[in-house]
Amino acid sequence: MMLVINKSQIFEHFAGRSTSLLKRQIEIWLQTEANQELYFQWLIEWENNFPVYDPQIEEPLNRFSQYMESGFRDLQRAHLKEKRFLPSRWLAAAVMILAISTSAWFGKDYIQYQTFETGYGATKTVALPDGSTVTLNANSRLRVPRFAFGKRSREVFLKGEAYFVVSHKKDNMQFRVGTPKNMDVIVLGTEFNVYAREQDTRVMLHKGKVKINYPFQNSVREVMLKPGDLIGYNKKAVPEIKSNVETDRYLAWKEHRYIFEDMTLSEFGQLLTENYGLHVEIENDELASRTLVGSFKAENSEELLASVTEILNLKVTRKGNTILLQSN
Amino acid sequence: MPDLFGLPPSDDHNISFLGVLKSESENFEAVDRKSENSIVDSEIFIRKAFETDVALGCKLLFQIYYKALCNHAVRIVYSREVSEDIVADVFCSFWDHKAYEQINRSYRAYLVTATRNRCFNYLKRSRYKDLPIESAQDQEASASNLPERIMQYADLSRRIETLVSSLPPQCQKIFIMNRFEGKMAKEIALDLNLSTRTIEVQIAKALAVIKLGLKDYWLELLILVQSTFLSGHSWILT
Repeated sequence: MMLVINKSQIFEHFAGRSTSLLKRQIEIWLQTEANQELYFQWLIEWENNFPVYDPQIEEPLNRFSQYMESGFRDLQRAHLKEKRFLPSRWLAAAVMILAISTSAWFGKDYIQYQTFETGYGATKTVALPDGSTVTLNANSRLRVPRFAFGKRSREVFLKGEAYFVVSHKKDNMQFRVGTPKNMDVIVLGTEFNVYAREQDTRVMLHKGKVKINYPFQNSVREVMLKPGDLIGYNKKAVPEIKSNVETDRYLAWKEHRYIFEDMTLSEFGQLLTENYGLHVEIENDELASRTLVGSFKAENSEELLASVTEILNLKVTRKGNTILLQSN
Repeated sequence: MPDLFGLPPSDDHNISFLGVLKSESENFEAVDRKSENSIVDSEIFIRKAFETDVALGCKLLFQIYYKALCNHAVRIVYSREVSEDIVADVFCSFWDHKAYEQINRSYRAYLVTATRNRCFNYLKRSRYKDLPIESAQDQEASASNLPERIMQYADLSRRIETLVSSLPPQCQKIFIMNRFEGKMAKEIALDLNLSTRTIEVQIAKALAVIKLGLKDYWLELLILVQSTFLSGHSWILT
């Protein structure tokens, strides 16, 4: 179909009165070079007919002629400089540059990455474009690149806790999980749990095989995990592997279950902080070292607290997000 | 510079010459309307001038297109002095790089595209101050005329126009006095009987509105740039 655009339509467009439909038609019409020429010809005509202002041409033309004769760009540059540094302009430019570059800086992460977040007490399952799924525990963040993901590499970044079910790719493309303390999990296709919070970083392998890269004395070391292996940092900050752990215990959070094996009350307080954003104060050290054993199902912090305090016979005082635990 | 007619270049002479040229080009355009495929020929007169005297050709182009180009640029850069600088730069670079030798379409298509590219770059540079200043040649060389690219300019100028007209009347007046009439805050303050500080605040406010209004536009542009960038480079986790 030959599309015909006439001058008055183009003029409407230049005047900012074109509809989206007309714009689209002009875009198609512009695919022909002859039409592009016509477009530029009409543009000049329109600018001459409807000028915003009337520029003085004599002086610039003389400068241009002089420039062609002498080749001295300085003539013009000097004029530019002298004008460019007027204070008001300079100030406006500085303000603009500052404001714009900060917004661009903050915008950069937003553009490159998509971030999935869970609030306190919430879990969320995220399907990634490569077919992998990630279940985020409460108070966790997963950052995924928007554009390159799954094309050449699969790299995500986790802060918090999440269970990964990674799909295996035909070309054996690696899937890498980065964590704040630089312990990286590298896999081909498998299921595993990553715990990466302020206090500790742990990886528990459920199925398949994964490689862990971790920083050790200024170098990066690697170690392979078998199913049921748990890697974490010990008290001397050296990574340690525990074999044949009860995998359920590390995955229970997905079903809102909590399995405690000799968990001290202070560790329990830490769990409440991580998952529910609560600040827990314990009456004294003796009480803080009492331990919990058992499996609890709780949909929220109230239910969990209620079960635990009932077993240990504690008195709970809640004030906003602060919880005080005392012996009864 | 030797003139085609051996006359010293005086303003009178230029103007009368331009008069002749205008009526000539109008004649050519009249012809074009009948045979819609020889549009480039409306510049045949200038082409002839380039054959005998390149400097004269450049001067003629400057005379014919300078005003229109300044008006075109000002719709985006919203400052008379910046737009005039940009257009003058386009012509200097046109001369420096002997761009007239490689033109395979009309001079005007080249000049408009070069002006538009410089306007885009000016805006980009004021946004991202570390952006390397591209060499003039790169700018002109990238004058590829994809339809989307051509449409982009009208789109951006419309956005800016809408933003400026959305400003409160006083703010708009001050902004235009400053950017268009090239008046400094002090002069405007005298004219309007307001304090210099008020004027400065109003100008900053106008700039902020425009900046905010163009945020989405830059995001779109950035996504385009970033996606091409990312597909070529593997990224590193921090």
